[in-house]
Amino acid sequence: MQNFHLLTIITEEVLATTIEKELVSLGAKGYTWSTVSGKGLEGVRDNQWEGENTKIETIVSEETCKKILSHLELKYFNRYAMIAFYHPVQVIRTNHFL
Amino acid sequence: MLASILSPMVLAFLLGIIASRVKSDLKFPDSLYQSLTIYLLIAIGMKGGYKLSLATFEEVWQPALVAIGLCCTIPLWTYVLMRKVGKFDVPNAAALAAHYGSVSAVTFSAALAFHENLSIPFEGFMPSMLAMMEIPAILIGISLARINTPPTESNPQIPIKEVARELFAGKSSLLLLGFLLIGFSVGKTGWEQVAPLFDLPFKGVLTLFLLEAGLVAGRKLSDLKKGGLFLIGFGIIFPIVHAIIGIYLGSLAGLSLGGATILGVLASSASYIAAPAACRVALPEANPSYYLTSALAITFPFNIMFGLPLYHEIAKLIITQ
Repeated sequence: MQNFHLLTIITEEVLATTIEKELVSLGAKGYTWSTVSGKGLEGVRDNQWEGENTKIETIVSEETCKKILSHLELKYFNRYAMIAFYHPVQVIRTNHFL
Repeated sequence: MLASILSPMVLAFLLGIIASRVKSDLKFPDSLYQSLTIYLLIAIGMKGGYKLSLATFEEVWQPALVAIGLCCTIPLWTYVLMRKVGKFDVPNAAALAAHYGSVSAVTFSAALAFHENLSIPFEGFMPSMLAMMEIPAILIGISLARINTPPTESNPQIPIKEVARELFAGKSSLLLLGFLLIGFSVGKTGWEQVAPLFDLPFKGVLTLFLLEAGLVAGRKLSDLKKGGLFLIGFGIIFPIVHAIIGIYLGSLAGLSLGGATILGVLASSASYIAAPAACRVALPEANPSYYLTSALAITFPFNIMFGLPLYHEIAKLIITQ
């Protein structure tokens, strides 16, 4: 078992492809995404016409996690509906994440 | 006018608006929405391509020139009007210009159904005009914002080439252009093989789609007050002006009454499938409450319910004079 960070990003669907590419280029080995809906400061986004919300999850080292978060903060936080948070997780098969 | 409002498509759209206003639990599964969009785009493209194969170059080139001229100039004056009269900032004015210069495939479909219901003949190659008019205005709108706002470090800009690639690879233009080509290449025998799926059920599928469109437009109605009176007036008056210009130029280019009306509908309609996604990515500072609300909650319902019969009457006045 080794300690890693599970980073969760919830944002607008239109950004999903770009962010997924950026995660990989910043050091993530993979990610999982799903379509979600809900309400936040930017209102409800729950249909295809306006685009839905996407939740992207990735398990990364603490260093990569910080790198990704500061990238998201700089590029997206002020201009898009986005929240990002992480919590510590313990994983087996660490070669999947490093 | 009553005949148009009493069509199943328009009534389904109204029912959708009512359903969302009374907070009904009616909701289309996302995959159904996607499937209906794909069906409509293929059906429009395929039939349009087949009809284009029957037309001569002489019939098509002038209307095509008018269509391209319209979608390249509408964003320019929309942008100036939004900046000077509407007092919108650069990104919002540019996003509105992109939406109103581009076209709506669903309004176009409703215009086809309207003409078929009233047995008014029109040029079958009109879907090729729809395909031509979708993308240029969006690129022009986004470029207008680029020219007027220099990039800064905290405001990185996506290259316009990348935006163009995404637009051309996007499902609406890919399917429309792809099936125009397929319909054009396979001709009558090819069209007859698929017509039972893409011709006869078209209006039924459009009815389903408009029910969903009504649900979304109804939800967006609550955002109207954010847009203000100017946007409501703009969302109704501008389409009428564009329709008149489109009908007039269409008739000069040799289109029939039906064809000129449909070109007017294309000029008047605002995009809400391709343009919102492109603007959200390329113009994040623009507020969707403005562009999406005016395109989806004002112009679209107005065109479907009142615009089509109105433009038909205007076309009769212009063409018979």
